[in-house]
Amino acid sequence: MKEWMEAAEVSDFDRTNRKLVDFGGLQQIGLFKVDDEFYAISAYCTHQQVQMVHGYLDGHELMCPLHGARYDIRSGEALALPAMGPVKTFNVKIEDQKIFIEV
Amino acid sequence: MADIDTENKLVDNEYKYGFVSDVEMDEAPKGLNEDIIRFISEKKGEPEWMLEWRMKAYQWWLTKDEPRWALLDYPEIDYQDIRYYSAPKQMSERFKGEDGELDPEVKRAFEKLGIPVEEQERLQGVAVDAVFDSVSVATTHREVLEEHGIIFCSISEAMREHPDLVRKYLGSVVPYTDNFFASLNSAVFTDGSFAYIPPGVRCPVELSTYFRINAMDTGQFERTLIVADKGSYVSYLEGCTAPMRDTNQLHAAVVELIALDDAQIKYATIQNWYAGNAEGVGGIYNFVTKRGHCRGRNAKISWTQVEAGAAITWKYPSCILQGDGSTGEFYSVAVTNNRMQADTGTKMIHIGNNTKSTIVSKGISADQSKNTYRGMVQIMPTAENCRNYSICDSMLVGSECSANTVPYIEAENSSAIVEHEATTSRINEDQLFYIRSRGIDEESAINLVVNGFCKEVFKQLPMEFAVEATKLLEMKLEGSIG
Amino acid sequence: MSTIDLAPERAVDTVVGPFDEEAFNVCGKGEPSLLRAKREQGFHVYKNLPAPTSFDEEWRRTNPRLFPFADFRAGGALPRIEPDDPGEHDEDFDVVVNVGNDGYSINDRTGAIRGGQVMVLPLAEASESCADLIEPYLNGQALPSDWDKFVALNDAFWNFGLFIYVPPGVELEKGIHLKYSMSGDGNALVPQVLIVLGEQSQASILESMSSPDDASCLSIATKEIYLQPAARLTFVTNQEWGRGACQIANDMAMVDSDAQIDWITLNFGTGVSKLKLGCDVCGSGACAELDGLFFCNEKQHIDQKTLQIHSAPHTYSRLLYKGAVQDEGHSVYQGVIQARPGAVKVDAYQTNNNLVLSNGAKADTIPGLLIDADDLKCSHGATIGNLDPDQVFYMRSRGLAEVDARRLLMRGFYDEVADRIPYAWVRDQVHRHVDARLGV
Repeated sequence: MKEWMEAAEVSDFDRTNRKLVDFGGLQQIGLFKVDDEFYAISAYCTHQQVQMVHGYLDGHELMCPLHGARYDIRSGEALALPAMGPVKTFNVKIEDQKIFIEV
Repeated sequence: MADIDTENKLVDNEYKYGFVSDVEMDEAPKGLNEDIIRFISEKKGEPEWMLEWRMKAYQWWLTKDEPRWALLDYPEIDYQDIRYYSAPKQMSERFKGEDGELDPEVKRAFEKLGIPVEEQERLQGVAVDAVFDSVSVATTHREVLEEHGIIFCSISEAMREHPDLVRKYLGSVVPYTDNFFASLNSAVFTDGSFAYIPPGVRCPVELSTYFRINAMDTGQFERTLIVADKGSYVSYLEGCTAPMRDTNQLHAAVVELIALDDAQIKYATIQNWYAGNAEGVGGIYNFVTKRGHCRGRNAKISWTQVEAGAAITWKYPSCILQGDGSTGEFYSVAVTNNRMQADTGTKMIHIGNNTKSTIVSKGISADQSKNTYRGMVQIMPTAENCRNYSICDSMLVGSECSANTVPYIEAENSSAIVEHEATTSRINEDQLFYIRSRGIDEESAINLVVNGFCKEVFKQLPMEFAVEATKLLEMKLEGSIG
Repeated sequence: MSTIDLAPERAVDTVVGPFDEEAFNVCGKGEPSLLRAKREQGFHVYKNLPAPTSFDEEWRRTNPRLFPFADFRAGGALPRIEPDDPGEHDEDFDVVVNVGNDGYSINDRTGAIRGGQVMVLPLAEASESCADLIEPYLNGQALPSDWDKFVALNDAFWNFGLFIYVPPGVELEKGIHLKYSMSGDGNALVPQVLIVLGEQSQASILESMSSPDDASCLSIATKEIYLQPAARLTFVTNQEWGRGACQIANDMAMVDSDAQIDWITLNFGTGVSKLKLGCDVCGSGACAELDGLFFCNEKQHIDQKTLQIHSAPHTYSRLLYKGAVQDEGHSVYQGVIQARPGAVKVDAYQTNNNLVLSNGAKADTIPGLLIDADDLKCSHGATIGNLDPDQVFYMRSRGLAEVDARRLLMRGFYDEVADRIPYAWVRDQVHRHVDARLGV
């Protein structure tokens, strides 16, 4: 059962390229803006389940700040050890300058 | 190896590899900063990408704190009080392209250790890469290996001669972000061995690296990279010693193994770094990251280790079992005496289907030492039909030592079968009594029982190593039982 | 829904949900000074311990965010009320204590309390009427406040306190039933229970918890048990909180010379649980038998840690925890056997068996041995697997439907522990839980 949830405003990204969106519990999602496109992935690294949204972002590559596992934020694909598998990705849409995530 | 070290044949309680060689050294000043890293990179004549990689690792390292979760107790390490590069002068010059002879003192040192480094005296069936402080000084058996297309050389040489291979595989198993000590190693590693076994080749000799720390206040940061291409086989041995000194020296190595489809790597270590004296003064801090990656189908990586030295040992040779049907093995004997501390074990990460792993760990603690097995077995949700069997036994010799067993097991697949067993107990009195009743003295009886305890691991070692390991154990435990 | 701005350094939080200074100030007003002092000390520790984060080793496998602490109210002390109509199975017990949203009642069914066979008193009352007796046990010897953030929280904010005392030599015939039930949303129960068994006394205690599945409630409990020499206690916890409930519990027993505890813990309920349970066999000849059963299905998450601490020579402990995970359930079991220096002739054993019944369910097991003495025998064994397909096949070849074969095997798996439960109706409940989850 998927639904579109309001996550942020486009203007939130004027000065930053990412947001940690918190839908409560373990529903934490990293929302990223790269080259004017938005991407949403699960905020947790598949290696040790730590919140990695604060990690280093290089192009579309997000690196977990704890051990350097790397993911492609477009596909969720794991690019480098110690990532144990892909991270979940979510669809994103923009309406009236508001960003929605499909969860 | 054993028959050559005649002059040290006498088994005594003292550390017999504790001598210091007087070699003219080319050293970097103490401390760590970007200039030192540039200095090391330049000394090695490295390509630009390598220096960039080192710098990235250094930047990452700066942001991290030294981990303290292990059951180990040691004072703060001052990373600015360590020398990160130290090489016999002649070697250093040779790297600049001049043809230098091997320093006779270095040669003598290796002879004393029972490691012949000149081609004419080489060991039958074992190719040796000898590493003295920060550099590799000699590699034997090169022609035989070249015939088979096998590359076996120091990693510095590999970087110059086979940059594509190194670039492809270096850091792919242990990225520079992996942990504090791996980051440090990636920034400042000085030498180590590189081996590449081409597809379908069964390496005709054992490959071996002998690490020797000689210089004072020097850290040893070696990096070993072994790649077994499809269907190949290699057996690799590693030995290590250092002089007796009353200061602690840091050894932070990284070993990466990569096994492609149907390839097999056997990696054996006999670690006998200087462990400090009976009061726990001096000795090597052995903080090592070793990891194997079964990247292809039906690949196999087998770790065997005999950890008998070092003041502190902190290492977990691990296997990432990614290829379907791949196998990981870990056989370990860790013996600690005096005030030694060891926190060692393995990780088996099952990612592929039908992957199997076996863990056999035997810990022996004597005197006031601390011996911890820490291991992890992880079965990923998509890994079908995986199997792990672990057995971890600890033997206590004396009443002031401690033995800990901390396995972590995680399974997320319903077809997985994981079994773990562990026991901790005193040396078996019934067995001792039985042996002694046959007229054998207590010391020999203990040796027999301990040898029996470790047999499952020793039989994984090549013969010469097994003999060496048995002797080492006897030496360690001598006088431990009052 | 909220959006958090990224800040590189996050301030260390010390307040858990509603448990702040303001809530503390209304807690335990007008309490006897003995208890007040303990509360204040607890709050002091609580204030200085950071709230857990998923970066803490202890919480790595159970993300604290699974507990929606902010959704709860820190309640004032529960009032004492008159016992209700007798409940089911009350006839099996001497004393029945009912704890609910509106208050608690103590029903002295057989007159055991009046006859002086046992004391079952609210903590506040006990610290006045038998201060000398209770005082030595109020110093947190078994569970010091700084043991855990949530022990400190409980010490500061408990809203139900109970003291159970069995005098030396007394054998309580039928025992005590401690019955917790909650309903409605946002209620937080913070019970603190202190149990003391005098020399050579004997008792059995059943503790059970329940709530409707749709009620969102929280329990943060502690239990301290002291067994004096040669005392014997059978303690059964039947935890059947509803799926909307989450709980954190820290329990510790100190077992003196020749005393024995049989402690059975059944965890079938809650959405999320984090439990720590330990025994310190601290006198020569002391013995602890710890058993546990659990089952996590749907999105249930149960994290249990057990401690078998041997601080004296000639002590014995045995542990068997068995459980299954299914659907997206996640179980974490961590066991520690610790032999302190000088604890010779110790015999300790720990077994943890897990069944992973479907892909995506997760079982973690971390059995640990921490040994600082020689001349002992400590061992552990842990397994993770599924029901043996050969056995299922064998039973099917005898004409059993697959589902029945699996049900029988599951019974066999659980009965190794369930058979030790002294209450037949609790055993039946175990079977019902297992059958229901297998879809029988």
